[in-house]
Amino acid sequence: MTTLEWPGEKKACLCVSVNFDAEALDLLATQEDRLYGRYGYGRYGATTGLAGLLRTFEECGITATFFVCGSDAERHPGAIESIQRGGHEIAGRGLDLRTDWESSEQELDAIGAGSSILESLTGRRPLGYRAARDGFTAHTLNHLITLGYAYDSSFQDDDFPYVFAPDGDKQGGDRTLVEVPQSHVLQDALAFSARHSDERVFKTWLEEAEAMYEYGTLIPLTLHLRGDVGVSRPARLRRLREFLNRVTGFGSVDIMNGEQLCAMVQHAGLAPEPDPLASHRGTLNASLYRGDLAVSNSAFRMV
Amino acid sequence: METNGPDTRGNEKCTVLFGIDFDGASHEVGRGVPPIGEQSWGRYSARCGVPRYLDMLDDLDIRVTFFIPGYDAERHPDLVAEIARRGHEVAAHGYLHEAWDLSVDEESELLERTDKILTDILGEPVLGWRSPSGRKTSNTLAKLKDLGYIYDSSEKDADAPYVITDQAGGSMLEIPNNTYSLDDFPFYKFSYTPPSEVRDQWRYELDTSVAGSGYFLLTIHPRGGWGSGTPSRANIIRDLFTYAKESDKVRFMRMKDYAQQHRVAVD
Repeated sequence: MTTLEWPGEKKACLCVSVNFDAEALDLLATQEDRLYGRYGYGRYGATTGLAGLLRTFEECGITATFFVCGSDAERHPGAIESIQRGGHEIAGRGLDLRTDWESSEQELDAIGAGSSILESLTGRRPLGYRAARDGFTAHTLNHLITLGYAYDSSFQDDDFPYVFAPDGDKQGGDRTLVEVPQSHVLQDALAFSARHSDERVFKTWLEEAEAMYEYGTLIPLTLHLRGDVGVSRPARLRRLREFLNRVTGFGSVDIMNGEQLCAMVQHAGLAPEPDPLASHRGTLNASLYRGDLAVSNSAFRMV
Repeated sequence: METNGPDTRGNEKCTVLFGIDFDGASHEVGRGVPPIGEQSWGRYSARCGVPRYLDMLDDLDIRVTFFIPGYDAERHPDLVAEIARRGHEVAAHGYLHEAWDLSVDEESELLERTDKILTDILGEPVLGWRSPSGRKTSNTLAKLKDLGYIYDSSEKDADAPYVITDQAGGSMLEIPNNTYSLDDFPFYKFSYTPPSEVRDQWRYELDTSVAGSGYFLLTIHPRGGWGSGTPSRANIIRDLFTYAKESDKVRFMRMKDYAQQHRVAVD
């Protein structure tokens, strides 16, 4: 287990992030001229929902990180401006949430294009990156270093941030990247996709946050802005406010966003860990792609 | 002994068998999925989940059974040795967590390979096996018997252990499980049930076993994602076993000890 001391002798650390995922996500299922009706949940978040979420963060004393893909940022420059005005970080999420690259160069170009759009709107290069679902490839860590990123927040493999030293083309120097891992439990979209009541989702979160506090880990909360599987609707914001106040009220909880955590980890001087694929490449190359076998299991299809 | 399995009648105590399926990156790599980004949940087992369970089980003073894929053991030999050093049983669980049908020859080779990896680390024989995903061939049990195994824990067809016979006429103890009710995976992969509700369901199952079959087998995975390695899901196991230990009608056993105790019924 990676061990990291929280500053100021705090017992745990809350890190809130928001995946902006507006029309870009709907456009994975439809086209530009069909962004109406059922394909309006992304637009809800970027237009109607955002103000309430920012107000909630302000009331609860949260400085968050918003991961925004380039195409959504171009569609909503005003939203980007109000997120920045609220003191929050704008971080990278590629160009348009599409992951059907045919080469690693295409992936590099997409992440780079997203970075450039964010830079033109915010005046600074994004430091952090979070891949779209299934959009993390064997090349991503190296692409991020090439593009000047300082941290990634796509893994879900640890209770604490840590440091990678990816295998690469050895361009010289110490190529490292901080990882700020997410939690599978502290996410809105998966649970809301399973159509749980809001009460049940927040119950699950509170149980996890309380247990994380006991162990003194990072408490990484991943939110979405959207009106379907996100939290920006008024009733969910009421519960989010209650949840954030409960967590910050545990007694000894620091609050940091992605870039603040990254700076802290860089300062802590942790020994970098090997590339996560270093001991798997040969086996992966020899393995047939089978996808998620549990989902295609016929017994589950029956129900 | 004229019996088709351990006679639980008259047993004062319900036997609790806790199986921890290590399921590290093998689970993804075997399916051709790189264990990175969102698919990095298997990495959590060695980094956080297994150490957390080892400490918890020490605190509870309970010794259990870890089922470990050979591929994960190759990558974490020190942790496998540590599991054994802390008094737990290490049993086999496929090589790359093969959750698909294998030919008889493929399966035999993989059973041998994993057995060698584990015994080289442990310096002693492995005695039990659980199929990753519950698939077997008509040859599995005979091959396990050849390798010196004394139990299998893959079947879903009974509430309590029984003697199972292979096609060559050999027999070993079957320690059955149920991956719909007594496994973390359905609750956290499909239904996202709050952990406290999962705990309450398993408590109800335990109470039912104490009053009935005298046998309770629970399976968890110490990984992230849909596993139980993460804090609240680990803590409900602590709650459940703390509750179990308060009862004088419950005893915890490693599966190999249970199988050895009932060997008379097999041989």
